[in-house]
Amino acid sequence: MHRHHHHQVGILFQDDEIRSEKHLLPPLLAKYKMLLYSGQFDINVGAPGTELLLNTLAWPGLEDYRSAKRQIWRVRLTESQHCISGARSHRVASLVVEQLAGDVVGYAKQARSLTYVLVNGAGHMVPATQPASALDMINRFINNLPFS
Amino acid sequence: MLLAVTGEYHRAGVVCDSIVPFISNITGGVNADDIRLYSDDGNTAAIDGYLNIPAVRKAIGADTRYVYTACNRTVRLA
Repeated sequence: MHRHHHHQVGILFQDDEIRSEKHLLPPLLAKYKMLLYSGQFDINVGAPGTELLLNTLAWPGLEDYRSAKRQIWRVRLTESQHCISGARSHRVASLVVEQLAGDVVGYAKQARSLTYVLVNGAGHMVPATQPASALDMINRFINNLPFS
Repeated sequence: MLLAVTGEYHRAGVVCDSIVPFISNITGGVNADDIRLYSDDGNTAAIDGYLNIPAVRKAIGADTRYVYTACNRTVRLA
């Protein structure tokens, strides 16, 4: 449910939205790997709020996450091309990835099952505003590739 | 924060929901989804296009009787 985009539905959920569901994340992290990402120019769900949440999340990986080095994320042509070689949109995807190859497109922190990515030059709709970065990010996450 | 902590969720929600409009107002209408923009356009055309691709609709199990439109007004007013 993306409350922001459905005003009437959003009003009905208003009283629930303010309640923290932070406690739901640790059980999920115990079972699944999780990617959270923020667009640099999004203040509706701004990066500082997400980072505060992750830096105070009560889960066994908290200290590992807090002490993990923030990695500089660059689009790497060979890895990204390899990942998308089986995709139907291979040619288009290769072109957009080539355009960004070598550029710093964001920053990532990883610990255990948790990955957090700040996407440079992106708004709230990350895949719409930075499609090549989004593609590279998802490919790395799915294929367990590092962001550094 | 205190309102949420003390269980006054409705009042907390009202305050929370007033923050982004306040920022938009004092900045001359900045788009909170992307502060480089000064319109509320969003990117719904791209979303509509993607979610109406037959292969995508099949993959997510969408009902083919309906066309997807982001922020649909009829749904909103229902």
